[in-house]
Amino acid sequence: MSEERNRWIDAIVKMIELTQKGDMKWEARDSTHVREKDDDSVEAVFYTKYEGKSLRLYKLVYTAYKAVSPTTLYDVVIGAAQKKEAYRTSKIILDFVSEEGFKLWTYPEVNALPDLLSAVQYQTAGINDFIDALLNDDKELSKDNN
Amino acid sequence: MNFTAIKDDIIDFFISDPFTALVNLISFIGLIFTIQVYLNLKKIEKFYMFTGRVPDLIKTLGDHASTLSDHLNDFNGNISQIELELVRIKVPLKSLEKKTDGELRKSISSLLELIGTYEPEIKGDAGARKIYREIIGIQAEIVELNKDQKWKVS
Repeated sequence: MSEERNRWIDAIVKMIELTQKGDMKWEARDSTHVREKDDDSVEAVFYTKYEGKSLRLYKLVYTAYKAVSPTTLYDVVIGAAQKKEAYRTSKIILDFVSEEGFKLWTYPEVNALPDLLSAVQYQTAGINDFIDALLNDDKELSKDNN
Repeated sequence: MNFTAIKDDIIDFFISDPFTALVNLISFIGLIFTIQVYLNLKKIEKFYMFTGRVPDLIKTLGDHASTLSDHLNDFNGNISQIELELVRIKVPLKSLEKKTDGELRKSISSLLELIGTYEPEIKGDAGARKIYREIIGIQAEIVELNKDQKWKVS
């Protein structure tokens, strides 16, 4: 694997660690401005600032097209070889953005990006705090009962 | 009877008359072709095994890596799940190890060793993160290799 690709992976793995340890704080914002096409779908966009750089992370669900192979002679004659079939797919996008929110550069597609998004969602949803609070309530309740 | 005498007898048998020599030569060429065909079949079998089975294994490996990453959100609270996940990760890795060779196979073997010697209480979350990093690296490498294989002509 190329050294450059290794660096991209290392950086994402580091971001996952920083996020999970709370050293990189993310916040969820409105998603309307990142949609480029009408049928693009984005649930939430997460923002963070680290080392003076602003980052934006989101999952984009969009329509892609694939070429359809002709199945009959009739398809070939009418030019079905040129036909394309639409299907819905998704990708995780990590952008470097300006202070004003303009996209400056998109991070290359790396297989660890979905895990970064998952870590970010976990952090912004405050799952650890929720579980801690829930378990503390439980302990206090059992103390009271004793 | 010494070694030289035996050698001379064998050579005599193979070239005792032109017809025998010709037949032996043809047999020898046939043997070389047979070996060549066998090796090519092995190569084709490996190629189809790789392109057919590997995408599933990669997906399984990726799913386990994601689960491992999720557990690392709360390392202390998920130690037993992490240990269990590492056991599950070994299964596709061992299968991939058999289907690969060269540097990639070495990387998978090293990763299996890393998982085998991992102890959460001693190596902590840093050790688990190292394993996660290696899995992601191997997964990316195999995905690229699989793309190359589709263009390869055996």
